[in-house]
Amino acid sequence: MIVEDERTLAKELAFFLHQHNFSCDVARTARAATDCLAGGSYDFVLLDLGLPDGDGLQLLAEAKQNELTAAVVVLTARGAVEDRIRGLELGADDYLAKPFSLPELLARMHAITRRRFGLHKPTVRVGGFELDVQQRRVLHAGQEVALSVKEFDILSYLVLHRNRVLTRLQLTEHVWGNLPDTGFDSNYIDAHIKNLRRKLGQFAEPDFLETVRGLGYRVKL
Amino acid sequence: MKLGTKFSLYNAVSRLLLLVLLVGVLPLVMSRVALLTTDQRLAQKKDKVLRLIYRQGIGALLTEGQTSYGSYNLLKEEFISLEEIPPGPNINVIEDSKRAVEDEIVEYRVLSYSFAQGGRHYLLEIGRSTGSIGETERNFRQYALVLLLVVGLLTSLADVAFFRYLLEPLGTIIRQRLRNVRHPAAFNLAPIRTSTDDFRYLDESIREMMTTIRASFQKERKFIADTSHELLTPLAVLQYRFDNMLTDETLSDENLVKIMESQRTLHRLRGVIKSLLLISKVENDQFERDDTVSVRQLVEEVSEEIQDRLLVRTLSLHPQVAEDYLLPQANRGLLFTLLFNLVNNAIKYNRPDGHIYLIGGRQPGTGRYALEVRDTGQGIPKGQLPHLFERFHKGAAADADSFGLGLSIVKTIADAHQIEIEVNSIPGLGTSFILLLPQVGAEAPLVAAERQ
Repeated sequence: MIVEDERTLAKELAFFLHQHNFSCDVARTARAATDCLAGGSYDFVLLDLGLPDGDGLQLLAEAKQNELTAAVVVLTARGAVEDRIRGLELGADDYLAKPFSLPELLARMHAITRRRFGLHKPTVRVGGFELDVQQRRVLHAGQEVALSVKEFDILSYLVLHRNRVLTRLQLTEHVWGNLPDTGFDSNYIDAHIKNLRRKLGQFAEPDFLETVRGLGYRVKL
Repeated sequence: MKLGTKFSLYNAVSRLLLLVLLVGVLPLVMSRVALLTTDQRLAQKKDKVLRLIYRQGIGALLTEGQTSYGSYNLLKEEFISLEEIPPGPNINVIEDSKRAVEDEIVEYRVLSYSFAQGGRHYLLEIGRSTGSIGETERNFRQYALVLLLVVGLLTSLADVAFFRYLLEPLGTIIRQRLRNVRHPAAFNLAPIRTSTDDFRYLDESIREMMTTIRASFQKERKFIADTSHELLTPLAVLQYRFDNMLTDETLSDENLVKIMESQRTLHRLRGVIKSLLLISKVENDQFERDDTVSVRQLVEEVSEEIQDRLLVRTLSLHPQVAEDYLLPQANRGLLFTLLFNLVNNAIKYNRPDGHIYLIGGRQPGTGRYALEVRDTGQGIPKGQLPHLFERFHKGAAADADSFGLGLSIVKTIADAHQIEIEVNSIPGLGTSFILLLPQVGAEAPLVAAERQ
């Protein structure tokens, strides 16, 4: 989610991130941001500190108190060291001073992902496969496995939360969470897992991708 | 028919009737008037002659020895005659009679009067030819007719103009209050200027009603926004807490399942609230509409996003956008949601191996650009069609996880973009949603409202 009151900047950010397979919501006020945060499940919050109806730091403090799980990158024109320290103290994952370059932002976001999920490099080894979170590719012995966008989303989400059961609902929220009233239909997730298994199975047996009966799916490493 | 038209018609017909009536009656009245005038003039002349005789004696007309006197004017239009008659009853009449004058017979209106003078009796006759009477009558009639026509026309025009002036406030009330109103937010409550009490009362009543409607509408919107806002935060807290609980490896399977079920309920609750919030935000005009959206691109984006669902249901999607259309002053994200929801429904309610058509192009008759989403699904029973876009309306075919808000969202977004929706459905064959896009060049809703 992009919390930014400057309209053109927010649009540019959203466009850039959309190009890199993020789906974005934009909130231009603290109130709208609170609504969005409560309503959606986000991986990242890009937070501008100067908002028309409140302080971004205040928003961050409240969100963290509400057990917000998304990673927060604070964006601000205020370069003050105190702001930076306070932001990080409140639980922000990183801090970028305006003006910043968009590739820089992307690199920082990838770094946060790696840090959060305990990866030392952008690629993860899963069975005989190598999953590149940054390039959004899955390779087997140097050969690329052709996955659809959604299939990659599901696989990478399971890999990032490796050794943990993810329910069909959690996967649905992650993959389609930005769409309103599509209902929850576990068939879609099951179908994607089936396709994933078939596609990966052409290279090697994907026995790391487990079905946990009655609960959901897990990638075991 | 409009009141003004009705009045003009009435006016024209009544004037016409009056004219016909007058043209019919006028000759009768005219000839009567002409006759009376002639009689009056004959009587005046008689008095004149009698005065002359009293003053100068009978010798003024009859010289000694003469027993009669007669005089015609040159064209024989008038005559005066005096003759001695034997004593008898008094004569004093005016009547038509024919007289031989020289060698022709002329019809006259004749006044006959007998009187005695110096022991003798005389009969005075004064005549006026009826031909000359008729001529005056005809002239008079012509003038009267022209005058009538002119007066009739002038008063008609004056009536119509005045009536139009009188009705002007009513027209303004209809235009400003009733016809051009789409949304309570765009109500124009400025009073209408009129000196007619009835209109003022009407306008005041309508304005009062509109104010009430607007107030309750705003209350409803604020209620939805506030509740959604207040409910979502605690729900998010619960959601994150459940997420964290699921990672606890000491949890028994039984409890895991319970948490999952709770999460599912929670998800449903959040879905409903998020949808309501979205509707309320669109209605509150909280989304910017400054994108120009290409229909073709929109169709491509939705087709791509929905590809995986098609595969799961083994459906084929056929996008056929022959001609592109650029919709200005739009919100791309909202339009995506609109089309996505429609296509998603077309998937949900389709038969296995069915088809979905996305057809964009101008309509043959009107030339208006339309985007159609057609499926080969089970169709919608006719009785349900009017309620399709109502909130929480769920068709008989809806699954348990449907909120019944998808089409409400579609309708709200369409309204905000001045897109009309037509639904046609044949049970057993399929359903078609046709989005009629606003004509480019037509003013966007907000601009139009502001201009009012």
